[in-house]
Amino acid sequence: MPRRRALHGYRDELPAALATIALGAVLAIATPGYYAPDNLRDLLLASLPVLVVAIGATLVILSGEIDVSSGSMFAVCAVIAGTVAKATGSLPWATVAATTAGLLLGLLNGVLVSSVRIPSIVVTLATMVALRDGLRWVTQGTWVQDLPREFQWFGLTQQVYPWIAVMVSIGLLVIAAWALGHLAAGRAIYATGSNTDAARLAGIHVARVKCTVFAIAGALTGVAALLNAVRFNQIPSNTGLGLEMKVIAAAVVGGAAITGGRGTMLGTLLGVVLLGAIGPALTFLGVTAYWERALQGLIILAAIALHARRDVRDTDTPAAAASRAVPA
Amino acid sequence: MRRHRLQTSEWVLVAALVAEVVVFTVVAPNFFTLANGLEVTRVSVELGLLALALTPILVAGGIDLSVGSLMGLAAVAFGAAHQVWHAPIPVAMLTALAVGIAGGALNAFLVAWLQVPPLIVTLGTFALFRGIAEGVTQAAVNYSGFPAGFLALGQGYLGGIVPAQVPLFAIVALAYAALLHRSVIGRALYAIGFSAPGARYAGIPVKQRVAPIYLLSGVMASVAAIVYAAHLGQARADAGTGYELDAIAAVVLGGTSVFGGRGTIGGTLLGLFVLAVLKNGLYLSALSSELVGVLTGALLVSTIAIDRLSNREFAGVARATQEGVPVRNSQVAVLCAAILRRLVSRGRHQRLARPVDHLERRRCATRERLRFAACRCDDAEGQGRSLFRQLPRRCRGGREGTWRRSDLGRPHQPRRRAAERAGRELDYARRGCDRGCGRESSRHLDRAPQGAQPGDPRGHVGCRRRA
Repeated sequence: MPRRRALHGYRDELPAALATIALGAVLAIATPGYYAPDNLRDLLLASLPVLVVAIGATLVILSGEIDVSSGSMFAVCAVIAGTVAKATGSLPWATVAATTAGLLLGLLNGVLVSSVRIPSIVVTLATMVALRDGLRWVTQGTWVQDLPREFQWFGLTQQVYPWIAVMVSIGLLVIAAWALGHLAAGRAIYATGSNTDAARLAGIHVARVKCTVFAIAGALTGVAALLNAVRFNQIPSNTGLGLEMKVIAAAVVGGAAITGGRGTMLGTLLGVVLLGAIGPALTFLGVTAYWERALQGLIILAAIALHARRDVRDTDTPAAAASRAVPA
Repeated sequence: MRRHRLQTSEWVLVAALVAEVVVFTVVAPNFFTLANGLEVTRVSVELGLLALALTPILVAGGIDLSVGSLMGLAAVAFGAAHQVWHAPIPVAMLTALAVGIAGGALNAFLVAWLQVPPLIVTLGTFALFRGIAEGVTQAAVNYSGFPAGFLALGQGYLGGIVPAQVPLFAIVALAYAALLHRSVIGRALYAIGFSAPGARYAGIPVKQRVAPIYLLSGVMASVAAIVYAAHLGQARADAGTGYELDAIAAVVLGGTSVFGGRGTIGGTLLGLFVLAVLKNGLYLSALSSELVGVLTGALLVSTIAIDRLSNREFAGVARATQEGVPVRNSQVAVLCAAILRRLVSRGRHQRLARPVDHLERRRCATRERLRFAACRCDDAEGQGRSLFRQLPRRCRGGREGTWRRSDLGRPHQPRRRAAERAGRELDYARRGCDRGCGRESSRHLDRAPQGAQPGDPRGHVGCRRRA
């Protein structure tokens, strides 16, 4: 995206950036305690897994599909990681197991969407319910406990681990952002999302793109589950409840179009920061945390209302206007 | 073909239902009794109300994820009105209804007027409604202690046998069936679900048809909340958590397409009972209730997969268009000539349409076809107009998936015919206002400006701007 003027190419991300800066400023004035290193570190460690899942969710949304099963997948991967770590006592194996489990579950979604051609919202709705209840059935609701000592913080100290986690998450984000902009595969995702028929006519293997995107999202969910699990010394079997909504919301707040083909990793990062920072901020500002959900909903609605006006400006063809009325 | 296919998918469900009943009758001794059968209908009323409300929305190609959250909010409003403000029960009911209408109106406004995709709108309101309910009650207050007369609505029996809320559910189901299958609005919703641009060009006021069904969904959510409060005797912020997904599962299981244009109220009821019987049977046969989700998911995916795969011809055609037709040089030349010709003489879109006509004719009964046809000219300047117009005329089948033009609102037809006779239709019907007033009015579809001659600068009906 060539920049003709400053910030010209970042029109979609600007509202999220301004909102984040505004929130930061309000917090700095009202409750400077928010910026205490301990609080920031907790915030960071809680947000990094969400960010990693959101990378995958953004890829799926960019390709014009949707994945609401990431929360359940997250729980399954976390429990598998914990069980493998307990059984083998080896962290590398736990990592491999979590990532592979995520990859396979994502692949299942991808195959059902691209080959059997069932709509993605139905497929992922089904896997979401099935995985969540299947996990409850297998574990009978028990938590994974008595994890090996080196499982927590990856066997590192609590001071070193955050740096590793940040490097992994931001590294994945940067790779995804670079690939979307510079690799043929990345451009194919945008092409598929913005117009599937046109992409197919242009020689892009649309089914393969969609399948791959779901598989990548699954693998990233596995990584995120591990990053989250090592923060505690036990793994609840109901972890990741509502995560799917959080990551989709982050992508949308960051300027991604739910219809596909539009959005960036930078926007998703801003969305995760904004939505992640607002919950603890409420507590600091003296409002009960129960209003967090309502505020998140308001932010999403504000973001889509802004983008609705943007889309009307961008496309004024009658067919496009009519198809927006009730998109498939 | 179409009717047959619909029956196939419904037969799968009937078979599943029969299989469930047989299995649970063998496994659980208390399953096959009249009392238990009625109990199943009682517990599925709240979910059923939401599923009924979702059916027309999915038929029109939309979705509403916020119904469960709105149900929670309406339940809190009901409880608060009765317990905190000490309002009588009817007033509390009206309060809940008002909340439901307000929530539905917010969805309707964002979806129909701001034209934001419903998936993301209702994702936002999903968080908002539940968040407000949690914020108001601190996620802890549990309103209970309703009078016995009110609780009878959810716990009592009519005539000693029928659960009190079942007649209400039956009435709502009949009303929704009438709306969807016996009214002009219902037909319009199917057309919108097939192709919103196509429906628009056929003269259907898309916004005015789509908005009320989201509003109605809000009303149904509050009715479900009232029934829920009467049934359980308590109203909490977490009422209806996860109901939206169960309701969507029931609707989709019943053969409604999430892409719109297909689905029936009868199918939804069937899907609802398959899920309810599954849940009840597992509970009675002391199997673990966690299996419900696994089986629901498997049932959902397999029903749709069977439905998709059972129609070979349809699948084959879809694959053929998906993988592309080999194009020869001569065909490219013909296409180029057609495009050039069209550029030279604007307005005769049929030329460009002809090369794909044989494909369209053969496949004109499925909605993918109509949609394909409607978007075919999107890339060029034509915006898919001519093809969509031609299609319904050839598709006179009167079957479920095919609609005749006469189905799409009679009032437009005579005027349209007159315009066609006058030979001006192509010029006027398909364009926005050419005088540069920026208005793009659906009223163009009906007639040319009074006294206009072909070739005049075109303004929309009532355009005040000078040529």
